[in-house]
Amino acid sequence: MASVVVYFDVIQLSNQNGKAGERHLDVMSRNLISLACKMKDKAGGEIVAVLIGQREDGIYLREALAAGCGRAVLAQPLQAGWDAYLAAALAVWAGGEALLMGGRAMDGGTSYLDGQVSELLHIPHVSGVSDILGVSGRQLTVAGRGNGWNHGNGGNDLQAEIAVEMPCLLTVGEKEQEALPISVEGILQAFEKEIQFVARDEGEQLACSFLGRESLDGLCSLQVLEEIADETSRACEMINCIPITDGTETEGQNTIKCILSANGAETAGQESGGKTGIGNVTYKEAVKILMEKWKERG
Amino acid sequence: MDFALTEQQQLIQRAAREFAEKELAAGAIERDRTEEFPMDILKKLGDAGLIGLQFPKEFGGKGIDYLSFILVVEELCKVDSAFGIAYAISSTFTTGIELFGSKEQKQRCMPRLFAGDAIGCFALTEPDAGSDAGAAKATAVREGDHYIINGTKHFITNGAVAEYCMLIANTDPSKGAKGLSAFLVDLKTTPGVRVGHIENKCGIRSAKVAELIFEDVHIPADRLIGEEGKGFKYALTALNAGRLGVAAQGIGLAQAAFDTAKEYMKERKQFGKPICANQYLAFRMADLETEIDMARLLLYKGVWKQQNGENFAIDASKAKLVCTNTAMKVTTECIQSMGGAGYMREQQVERMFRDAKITQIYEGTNEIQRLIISGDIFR
Repeated sequence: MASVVVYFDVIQLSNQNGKAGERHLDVMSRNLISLACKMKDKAGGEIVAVLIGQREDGIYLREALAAGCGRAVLAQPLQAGWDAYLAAALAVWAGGEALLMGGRAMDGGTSYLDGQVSELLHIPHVSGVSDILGVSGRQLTVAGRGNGWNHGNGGNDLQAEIAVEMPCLLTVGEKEQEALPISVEGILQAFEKEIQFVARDEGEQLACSFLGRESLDGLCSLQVLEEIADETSRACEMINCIPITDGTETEGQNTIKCILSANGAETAGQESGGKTGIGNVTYKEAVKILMEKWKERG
Repeated sequence: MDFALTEQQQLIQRAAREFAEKELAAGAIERDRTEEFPMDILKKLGDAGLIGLQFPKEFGGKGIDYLSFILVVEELCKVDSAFGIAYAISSTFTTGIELFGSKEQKQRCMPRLFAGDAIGCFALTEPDAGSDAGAAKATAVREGDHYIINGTKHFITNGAVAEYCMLIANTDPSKGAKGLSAFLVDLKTTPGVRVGHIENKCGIRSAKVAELIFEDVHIPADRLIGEEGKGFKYALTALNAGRLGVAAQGIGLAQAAFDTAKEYMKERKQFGKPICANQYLAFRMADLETEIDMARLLLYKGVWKQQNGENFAIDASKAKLVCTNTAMKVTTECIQSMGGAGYMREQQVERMFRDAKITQIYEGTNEIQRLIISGDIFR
């Protein structure tokens, strides 16, 4: 296997780590690395840690290197809404055959990025992965959360064995794996490695190359969403979310973006039970309204 | 002036914290009850690479900075300060060997210590030589190519489980403290060495503090560390580093007690509100956190001087004095803030309170620290 690419989300990392000044990977991200190490043990290859963030977020990648990753890439974020294109481009650039993402660690907990990336790369996506069971040639066997949400079994999901062809994208469930400990040797080695830094303009070029476009202008982004803000705000209210504000990174924007991914919408819909908090409009109806507005926009 | 830890130090601190939470936390109360020292966990600590951080790579150390070691002591002591101080005292022994021992002596013990296969101790104190350590009476008489050692040491931390010992004994009683010499002794394999009484203590109960008895113990002459007559000087030099370790223990205890009390006070409701909403209690915690921060800064300053090759003896004394007094005060006040629950074993703050008391006494009592500091002021 060429490489396993592990994605972290710095916004979620910062929010989860409590005390000011403490910057370290959360449990989810460490679990991703543990699973990636398991895959590497079974099939060889290299683990590449990817983080979309600023230079000062490099410490998260040092920890990832100390925890077992062989390489690390820190890419500056692009305009809000374009992260999926960048993430997909980075996956191709890093030669990822298996991409791992955290189920709640992506983009403020909305978990939309994994669905979008799998669509962009045209690769299968398995969600709720709890373990890597085996690697045989191009086939990966994983333990995943089967379709058994709270069947009266004390709230435990049924576990299923899922076979998937690589390249593929796996969304890892929360706290499914026990994180491997970090050793001092690992820490010292981590500082002997260089973290590849991808500046914003380089990232845009990568994304453009990946999409076969000269620029990313016109693709769905925060700018586009702002122009249909009235409708999206109302739809956001209908799905019990916070509306877009003024273009800064807020939860509302992330929530808007989550509906642009079919997978993301499915996931969020399940979590809300398919019904919204206000009125009788279902989540899927709200999604439909937004998608129609976006298509009208062109 | 940059007060921030480097990224490497942050990661080592993190690794130590995770180790302590995973390996030490579950059994801390039980070990306090049974007084069992967990050599298996020491081995895991060695496997994680967390022993020997500040010692040379040549003998299996990691060759990194002293602050990283101090951070590890603090994190271990937050969870189980008996284990943490055993780790720190072994490091004090190793410091003595590193500074004054021969290459063969270092090779003899350092690899096993850093692997977590063995632990060291520092045998200076005697029944009649505590604060007046220079009055030690154990003797080492040269006969041919051996020294013959006789005497009793007591209150030796790790004494009951240590494999190696830096023993201070008198090679020339006529010279008093200047007649003391230091020796590397293999405690488990040398005939005539035995562990006597193992202390039943108020706190740090799983740290095995014991009497060591030496009866006509023959050791090869090449076990002399450095030069004859320099043993007391070597001991005091090693103790300077040891004081920083005890200061770190104090900070760990204080911080852990504070964190426990803080969370309890957010949850515990009386008269319809969390008890932390009472200004008197909140102000008490504000004072305690400020004192912990002040003490930690003093400790880090001492460590900074040590790392920069400066004379840090006075700073080590100040750090030991302040950090241990802070530990005692914070643990006491945190029990008070937690009320009856703070007195119960399950909350663990009472264990931290019991552990804190000895920090004001060993590695040089806080009265001795004041003697050292005032001696420097008025010399």
